[in-house]
Amino acid sequence: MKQSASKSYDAIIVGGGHNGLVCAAYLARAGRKVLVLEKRHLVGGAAVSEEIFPGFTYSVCSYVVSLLRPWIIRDLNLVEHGYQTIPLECSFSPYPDGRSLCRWSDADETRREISRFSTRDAEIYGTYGATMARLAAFAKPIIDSPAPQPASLDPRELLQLFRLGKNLRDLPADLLEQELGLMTMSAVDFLDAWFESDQLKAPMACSGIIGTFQGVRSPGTAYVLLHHYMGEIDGAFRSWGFARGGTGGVSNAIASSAQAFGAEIRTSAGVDRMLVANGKCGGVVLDSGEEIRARTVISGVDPRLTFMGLVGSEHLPDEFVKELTRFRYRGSSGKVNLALDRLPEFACRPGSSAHLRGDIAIAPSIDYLERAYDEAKYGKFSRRPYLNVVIPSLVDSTIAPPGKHVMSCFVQYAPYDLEGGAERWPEQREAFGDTVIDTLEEYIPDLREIILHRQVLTPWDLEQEFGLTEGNIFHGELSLEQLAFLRPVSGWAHYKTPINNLWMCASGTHPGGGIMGAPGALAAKAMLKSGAL
Amino acid sequence: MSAAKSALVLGAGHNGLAAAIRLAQSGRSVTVLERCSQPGGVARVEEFHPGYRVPGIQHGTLGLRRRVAVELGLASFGLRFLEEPAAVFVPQLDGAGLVVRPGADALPLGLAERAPDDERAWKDWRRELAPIRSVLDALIDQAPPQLEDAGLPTLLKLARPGLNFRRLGADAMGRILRAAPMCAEDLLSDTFGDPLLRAYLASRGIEGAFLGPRSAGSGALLLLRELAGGNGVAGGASALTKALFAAAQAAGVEFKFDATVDALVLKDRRIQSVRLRDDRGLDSDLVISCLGVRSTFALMEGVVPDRERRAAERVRARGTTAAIRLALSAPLRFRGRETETFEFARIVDTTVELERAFDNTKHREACSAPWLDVAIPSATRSDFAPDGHAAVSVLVHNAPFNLDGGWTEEQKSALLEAVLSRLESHTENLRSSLVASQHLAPTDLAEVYELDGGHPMQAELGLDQLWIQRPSVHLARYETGVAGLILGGRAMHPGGEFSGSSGLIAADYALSTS
Ligand SMILES: Cc1cc2nc3c(=O)[nH]c(=O)nc-3n(C[C@H](O)[C@H](O)[C@H](O)COP(=O)(O)OP(=O)(O)OC[C@H]3O[C@@H](n4cnc5c(N)ncnc54)[C@H](O)[C@@H]3O)c2cc1C
Repeated sequence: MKQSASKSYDAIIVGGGHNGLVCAAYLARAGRKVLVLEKRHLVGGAAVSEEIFPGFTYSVCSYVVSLLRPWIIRDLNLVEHGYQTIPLECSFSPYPDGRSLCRWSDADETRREISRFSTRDAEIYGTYGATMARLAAFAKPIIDSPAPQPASLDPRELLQLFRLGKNLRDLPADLLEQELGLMTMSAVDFLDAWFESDQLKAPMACSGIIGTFQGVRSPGTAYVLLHHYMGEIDGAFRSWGFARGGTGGVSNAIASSAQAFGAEIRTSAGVDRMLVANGKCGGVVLDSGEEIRARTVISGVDPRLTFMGLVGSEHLPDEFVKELTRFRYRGSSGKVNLALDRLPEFACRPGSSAHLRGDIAIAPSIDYLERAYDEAKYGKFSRRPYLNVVIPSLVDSTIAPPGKHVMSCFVQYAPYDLEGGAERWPEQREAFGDTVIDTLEEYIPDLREIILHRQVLTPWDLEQEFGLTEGNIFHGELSLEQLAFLRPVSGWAHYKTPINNLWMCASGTHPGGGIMGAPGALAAKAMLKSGAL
Repeated sequence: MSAAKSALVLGAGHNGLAAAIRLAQSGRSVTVLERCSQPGGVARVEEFHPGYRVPGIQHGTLGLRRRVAVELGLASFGLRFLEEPAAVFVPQLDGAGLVVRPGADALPLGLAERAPDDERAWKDWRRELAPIRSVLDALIDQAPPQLEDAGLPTLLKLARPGLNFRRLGADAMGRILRAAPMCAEDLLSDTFGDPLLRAYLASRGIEGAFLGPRSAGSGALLLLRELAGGNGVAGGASALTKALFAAAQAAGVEFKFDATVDALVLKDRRIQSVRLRDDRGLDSDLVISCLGVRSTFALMEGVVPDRERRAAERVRARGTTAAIRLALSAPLRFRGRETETFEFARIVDTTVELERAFDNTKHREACSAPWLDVAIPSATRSDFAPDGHAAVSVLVHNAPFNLDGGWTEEQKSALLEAVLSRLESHTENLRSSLVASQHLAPTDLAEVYELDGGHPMQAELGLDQLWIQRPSVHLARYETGVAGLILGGRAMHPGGEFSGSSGLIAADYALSTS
């Protein structure tokens, strides 16, 4: 076994996803000696840009940013390091009957568009947005601080809980009703109380299901609607944006910042296992056999991979292992990335490309979405899936040759547990890709003719290539029972683990997945505060 | 105070009766107005074929809280709790099935043979859940707190269950809070191996709800039923009706049967009088309506408070239950346990089958394999069927109120046939002993029992329609926004199958505020 004894690190971070990088940057900024080990040939994890086809750069996995915390952007000088976002201008939804709806950042225009489906909905849409924005403001502190622990008797925790409670009390009655509804209802039931038009509700409801194995009618999906109003890009109506250069641009900026603070990053350095003895972690062993020691090891991969894969359950308390096995992943989405010869044209809205400068939802009705979910429950990918499509090359010239385009299609549902076993995914991959193209062709008749290249990622691929257990894009479902003080395991929601000197910092911890950076930053803060480092 | 103040109660169901007794106990002179000619509401005894009777659509009395029986003094009127819940048979096509005591700690009979590991799992599960009981008791037996008016007293009241929670310790607490929003399927697959046990328990998480076993919230309902249920009473729902009715009469409550309410007349945001179909008007400054919430608001005449009216319109009550009644010339014999007599059976197969059946319901389609809740009142009571015969009541749980194309005679017959063939596969003698049948689609139930949306609970159960949200944040305090007009039916907290609880709490609430 080789041993690189030359250096000694305060912390090794396993995994160079954006959270691992954020954590590294904060620790380096505090003067700690940090090493990031990334298995792939480049950093970013699920926030990565790659030139898969010459001249075309795909945001291979995640494709839009919204929740990256503004204080992280400031603390780490990310703008200086090249972080730049371009707001999405609209949300476009085509329907099979030839109609379409585009919601713009301009309120009047949006009202006009919606009124073609329902004048009542058009009138109330603005109020809805304002209400949600107020609620989002109330919810924001939750994602910017460690999870409160209601069972604890620590006075500080109780105080925090009380503050949340007090916040709740301060909400006016109408907002309180909405807040309770958000926490307990399905996205559809919640929207039903506001709107009447299926064409409006269906694309709106989708934000409630992204990355979960739930349908739009499943209770507990409403609260995710808030996410749409929690974003921090250029004002309330433009809460989602493209990162210049693809979402890898975010990771690269963070990596550059971390390095500027003195962190070391090694790619193509997969960790084979953690060095654990007597309940303590003292370093890692790489796939190459190289052993690297450090005072602490921080896992930037998901909980199952961390504990079952790299630590080994023999080192862990039984109860902890039991709870870990209950933590649910069951990925439900896939991704199809296309290189296009020219801009696609939607039959229902030809011409001007303005409506393509945002995101495009193939979510023609609530029943359509619910049936897509029903199929997946029994182990089939949806025959007609929900698609969230973006064409970032329209606003970012760095990612495709002039006149050509990249089109990113997020696909749901693609259940990891395919009928007959997840291992069947490779043989189903192309059929899955075809389904996505067939679905799109119903709206873009000549799509097949303009495709130059296609990349299909199934949940199986997300697991194999990106280390996402069961293909879950958020390192574990973001269902209510897996959030806050329950993420990933009750009693272990504060980035610490039952193994001494081993911490967690990625999406499997509070506040969860998405390009948010909060888990990485909060983990670093918790470690520094506790004196562990 | 002048002469005894009057009060009116709408509906002589269990909640109406409970409310009436409580008001009378406090000195009000109470009149109950009931559309039918007898008390009982959804539990009123009906002769569906000469000589064959069922206690309405209420199969059990497990939801009757001890507090209700004690405070209303029902023991003096012959009410007796059972020592343990009556057995429910869960048959299986090829095997002896399970015999469970719903909500009891007792190990289901047959489980040890079917899935030896589940014996241990069952004991752990019951032990782990036990501490939740006291919290649930505190929540169920009192009015939910008012969230809207800020202030320290409310805050403290809200915190009280929370403080109880804390005393449980972090472990139990974590498990409970984790279980609450989960779906029954996940909760159960984390716990048990036996598919039949899982299916049976899952059905307890979706009964009365617009949920499948994979829908979040079904776990909470399952826990609620498993932990907050009692043993039920001897003689079942009809015995409970009898005791409540007798207690009400003894307390001096006056009853007007065959009295249909036509309007609730409001003035200056107060209730003024109740007008009956025959134009009689009854004045009172306190009316407790134990009808559905939507129905109650629909009856209001005058200026109806806007916020509450809108809240009432939004209450979700999508019925998914149909009722089938069968008159048999012999006791029903279940395969696998031919020699035993059961009063209750639940016909489920797997959680996947329950989920598929819910898919149908959700898409407003008829279901060819609905799950069945079977009660055979004649098994323990002689007055429900002729000697040696049987009266069977089946609640069919995948019958959407809004069936595509409507509930035509054809659809109803198809439903009856689906039920018969499903039952037949589990019994020895169904078709050969079938004397007569009656089928009631959800739309029929809506009429017969005056149910909002044909929903037997008057409002769906689910995380968003429980406790401080039952049936809506703005209505959860039993108030309608009209002074003196109070809601007390099963759509109110705790509602559902907690017989009489809503009525009693609503009456207490009315008395404390009037
Ligand atoms: C298809 C898809 C679409 C998405 N769309 C969006 C979106 O539009 N907007 C949004 O906000 N979020 C989106 N997400 C979610 C978001 O991308 C992730 O939640 C987030 O990027 C996770 O970051 P992380 O740092 O926590 O973990 P990861 O990005 O998963 O990082 C983990 C890193 O660890 C590395 N690794 C794994 N095993 C080892 C090992 N043994 N040794 C060393 N390194 C290892 C991996 O290669 C990876 O780089 C999407 C995710 C996917 C998969």
